[in-house]
Amino acid sequence: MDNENNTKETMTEVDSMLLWYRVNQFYNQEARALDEEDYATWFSMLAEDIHYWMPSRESLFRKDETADSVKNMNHYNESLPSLQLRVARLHTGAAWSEDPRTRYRHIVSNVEVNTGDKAGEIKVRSNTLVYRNRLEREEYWLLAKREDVLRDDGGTFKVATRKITPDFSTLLSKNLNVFL
Amino acid sequence: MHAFDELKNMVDLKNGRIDRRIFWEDWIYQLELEKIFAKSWIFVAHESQIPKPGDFLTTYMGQDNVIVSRHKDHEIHVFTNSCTHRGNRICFADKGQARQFTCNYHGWAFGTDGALMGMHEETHYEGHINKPDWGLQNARVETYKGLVFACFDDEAPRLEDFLGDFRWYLDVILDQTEEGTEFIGGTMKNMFNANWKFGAENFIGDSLHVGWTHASGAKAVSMGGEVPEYMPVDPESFHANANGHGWEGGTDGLGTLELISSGNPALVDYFEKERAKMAKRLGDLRARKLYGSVISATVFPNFSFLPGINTMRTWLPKGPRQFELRSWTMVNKDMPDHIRDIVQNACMTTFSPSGIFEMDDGENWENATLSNEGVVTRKQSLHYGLRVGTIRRDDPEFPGNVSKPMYSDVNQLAFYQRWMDFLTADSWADIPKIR
Repeated sequence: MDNENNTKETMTEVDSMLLWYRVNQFYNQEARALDEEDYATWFSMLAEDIHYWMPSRESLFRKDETADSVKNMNHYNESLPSLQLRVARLHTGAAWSEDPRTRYRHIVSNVEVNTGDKAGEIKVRSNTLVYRNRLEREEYWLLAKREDVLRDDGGTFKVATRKITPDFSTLLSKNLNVFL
Repeated sequence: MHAFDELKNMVDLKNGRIDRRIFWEDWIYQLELEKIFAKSWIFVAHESQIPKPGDFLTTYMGQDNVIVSRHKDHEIHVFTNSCTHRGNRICFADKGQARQFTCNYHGWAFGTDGALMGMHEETHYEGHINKPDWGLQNARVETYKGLVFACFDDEAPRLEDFLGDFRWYLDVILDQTEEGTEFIGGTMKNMFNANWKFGAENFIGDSLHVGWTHASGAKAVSMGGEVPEYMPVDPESFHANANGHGWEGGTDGLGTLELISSGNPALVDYFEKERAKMAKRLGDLRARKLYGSVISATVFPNFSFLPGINTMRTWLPKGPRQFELRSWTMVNKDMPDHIRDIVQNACMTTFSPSGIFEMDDGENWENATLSNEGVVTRKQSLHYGLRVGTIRRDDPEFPGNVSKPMYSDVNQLAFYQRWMDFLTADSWADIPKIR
């Protein structure tokens, strides 16, 4: 709440709208890069020191719920080099299961922009809906919450951290061949 | 029964042929649930997942959902997760802490040993129920060096006899240190539209797929450099099986270490030190030749693991054409935190749904299942004939039934032989104790 108040105090409504617009433009470009498997563009939107994290989830009684931890099983717990390693797999010419290609669609919405903990950074929450369609009739939907820290990069942004909290506990597909 | 007579011909051990219907037919699947999953010992947990009284987790034996729970006397109980009143599930959490399990429907409450304790409006039941008769169905429970198995058949042999000679291999991962092992980081779960046996048979013997299916993963790990020979077809590499459980892989002591340690020389140092300690417990053969090699294994029917990468997993059947994979990372209890983190990350990067190796497996298993929807396709038997008939039972080094080198269908056939032993048996009296 403090962050929201700060935003209101230090920014005019027009400033906020402009920032929100710039963040949305950034996310739309990122979504397109991922849809098109344009990983060079995607990597250029990520900070060198990015922490890209997607914990796995389990169904627990409310009283037993604990905070997410990178010590638990993770779908992703990545740095830029490890993300690049995953993408390198696709470009080996031997990723048989990605030929024919998976058809991807990323929808990003419910974007909420807040001030960051450091100068030049903002915190952004969004929802993402990722659709995958493969071969004859394989179809998978993924929904997740994203919590990002975006770093100002001269008129655009770099993703400094991203935590993806999926809404599934059992992943309803054989693999997770997509970034969110 | 006509179809049942046909079943016996679906696994041809002599020629190495498998009838595709075993991956497709509903009636065969129902037989598997009755005659394998309700009769065999089934892996249900690692003791470290439920260390304290009241700790529990839920899992499946076949399609029977069960609660695995540590009772107040510290004993582990495994019982059906279905109320004896109207059959509703009594516990919906994957894991947690509970003093009792209370049904949402009419408030029937069961203890952490499965006994019926009481119910909502209990006074009305006076004279209408004898509570001790209405507890949940308990399975037999036995452990082997931290692994918890359960069995719904009173006639089954003890777990140690069920595992038989395979314990020698299990010890390579379970008995490296005095303190033993633990699962860390919770459970990963995902679904495959494939027959569960494809997972089990892949891990029991399919070294052949690694260099091809996983070529992209291996190349990626080398980041454009020379692809290291993770799995040299060493003439000493081998398949070994006992009682339908199987272990296959190399003897170079290096392949898996190189794979998971890429970029982490600290890890190699750590493992080499551990290897020296381990040799004192397990001997040079297991510590220096097996530990660190690329190896995969399956405990019949549906528990598999990769030593070194340390993914432990179970293929939970959900029908003839669907299974759920649950997987965990196992480490030695005395492993320092920074090494645990590296092992955990390496395990996730290689063998999780997003893992660069695992990613390609599901694709193969799903389509190997689905193609059998074709009635003509389904009539053509499958070739499981690689190195058929090359088993030795008197290998000077390795216990069980051994064949070399590892590119082989020998373990897969041993798995299907055991599968047929169970499917065609009326009771445990008909199942050979040693295979």
